[in-house]
Amino acid sequence: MKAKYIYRTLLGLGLVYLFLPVFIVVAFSFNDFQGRRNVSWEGFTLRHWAEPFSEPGLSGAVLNSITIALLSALISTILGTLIALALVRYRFKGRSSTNLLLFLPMATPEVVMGSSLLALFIVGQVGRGYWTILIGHILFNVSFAVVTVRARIVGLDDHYEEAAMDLYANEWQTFRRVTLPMIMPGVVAAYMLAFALSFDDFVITNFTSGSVLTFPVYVYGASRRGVPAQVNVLGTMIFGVMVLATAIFLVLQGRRERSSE
Amino acid sequence: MSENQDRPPGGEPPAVELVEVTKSFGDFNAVDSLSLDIGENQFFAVIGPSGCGKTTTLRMVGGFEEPTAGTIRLHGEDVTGKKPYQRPVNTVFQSYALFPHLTIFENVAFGLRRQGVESADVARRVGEMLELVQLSQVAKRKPRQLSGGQQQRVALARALVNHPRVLLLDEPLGALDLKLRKEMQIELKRIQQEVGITFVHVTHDQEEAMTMADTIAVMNRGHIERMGEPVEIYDDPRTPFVASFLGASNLMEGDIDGDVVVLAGGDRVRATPGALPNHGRVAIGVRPEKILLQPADEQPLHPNGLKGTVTDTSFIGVSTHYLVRTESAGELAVVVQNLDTRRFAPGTSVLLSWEPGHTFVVGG
Repeated sequence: MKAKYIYRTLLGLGLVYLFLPVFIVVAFSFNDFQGRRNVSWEGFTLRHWAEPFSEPGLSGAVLNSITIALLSALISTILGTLIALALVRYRFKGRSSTNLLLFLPMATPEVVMGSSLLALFIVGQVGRGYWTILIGHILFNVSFAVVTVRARIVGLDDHYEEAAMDLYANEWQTFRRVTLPMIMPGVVAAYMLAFALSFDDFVITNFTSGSVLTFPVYVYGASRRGVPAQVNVLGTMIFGVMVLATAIFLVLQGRRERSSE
Repeated sequence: MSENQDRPPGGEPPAVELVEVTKSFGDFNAVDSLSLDIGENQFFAVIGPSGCGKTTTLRMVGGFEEPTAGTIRLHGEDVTGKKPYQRPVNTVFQSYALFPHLTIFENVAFGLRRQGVESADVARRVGEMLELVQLSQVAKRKPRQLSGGQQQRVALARALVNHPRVLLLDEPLGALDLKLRKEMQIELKRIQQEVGITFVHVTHDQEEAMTMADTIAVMNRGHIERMGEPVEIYDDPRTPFVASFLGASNLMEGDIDGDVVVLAGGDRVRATPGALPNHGRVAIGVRPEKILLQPADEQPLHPNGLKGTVTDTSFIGVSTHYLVRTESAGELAVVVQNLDTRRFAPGTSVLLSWEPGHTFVVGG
């Protein structure tokens, strides 16, 4: 009995530790503060929620973050899925070095990668902005997508694809009708991970953004003069959407597993 | 299919034809210059120990492996180098490989849909096929909701619905328990006779092969050691490997003296007249169930008699298995039907005898 209580207390403390910052962000979106600094509780208000897009620059930054996250996650998930398939299914020259190289972006400190990218863009005379941010995000997302999708493909018996080909499906139909549906949970997980990584990336973005703002870069800049409560409002909204998306993903996956049992 | 019988013999190319097919993995020849004809409507079994090349051979016919050298023809058409989806064969995999995200109906319909069959026809043919394997009631379920035996039948239906001219079966019953396996053996044979197409069945289970197949090929180290009807190759295995892989055998060596083999201890054993080479050393064998066991003081009932001492007795219900040590031929296995209550305890002196016609020759 005692061990159970200790276990529960530790679990509770762990959860508090994880969610306290999130709670602060949400709570301070309702803070009726005066002046510039939203740091101490001064009373409840809905006024920030009434006009979430009123802060100049913030809405544009959030929109940039969302579109970059959607695009970079899409492109890196497609690339990552194809790379993972090649790495698992085929033996080719340079396969093991590709495996190693894929881990490098994950192992490299972000500061190093960001500054290297900046140097590369300067040498190549590429103007920094939206597209250079996108390129940077795809770069680090691909590795995570490969690792996530590969875990799913490794567990996939080759015989499914052979059976599809045996049943008159050509290579594309085999991929479309058998391989892809079977690795779909891994692909969706890779997309969500890539989206989340891209959305809150600051270091690499800061090096490659030029004058274009993303949400994290905006918040960093704003923190020096006082973060507007709209940041908390939009932060809460994004948090809510992510929680919802994760919940839907888990429910769908649960249903899929139950129905195939 | 029936019209084929009206054609003159030899006019029809074999259903499956392998011409000097070799498959190498690095330095290792999994299949070594193998040539083989499988006739129309045959139930053909390929058996052998693991690593003998039987599965590789089947996979080359299905198109999942490309031969390193040689030619594969199906009904006279060269399919070497063709993709699996370009070959008029279908496969039942050992793991079944049913698509877990599709229903049983869609699993069976998969091949028809890829061939562009109209959906009304798809529904009819899938329905008929599920009826043949007695699974109509589970059409809307997913594979994982089915038992092993049901999954096995879905795999069979999914292949047969395409009316392949040759059906390849890769250890299709390996994952089933013994009782279900026995039932499915009978079931498979019934279906093969009903649909009348060539079955090529790979298994390591010699009893399964003998139960079902018209023709058995015994493979060892990448080549076929013996091929023929089950009775024929059981009674005359010709090589020590086939003799011990297909059923159990007592093998012994001796010198030829006319139509008699003189064993090490001086005992003389007769073989079928004409079966022995003219002279020299020879290896012969006899099946355990062909040997009669009597008390040592009786007269032998069959011409070939050896004296021995029982070293082990095990009763297994339908029969009793003995190990008998003899001076001339070492330890011999004997299987006796439990027709009488007489049983020999270890240590008993006994007489073993068998008909000369049951002595087979496995090599000089």
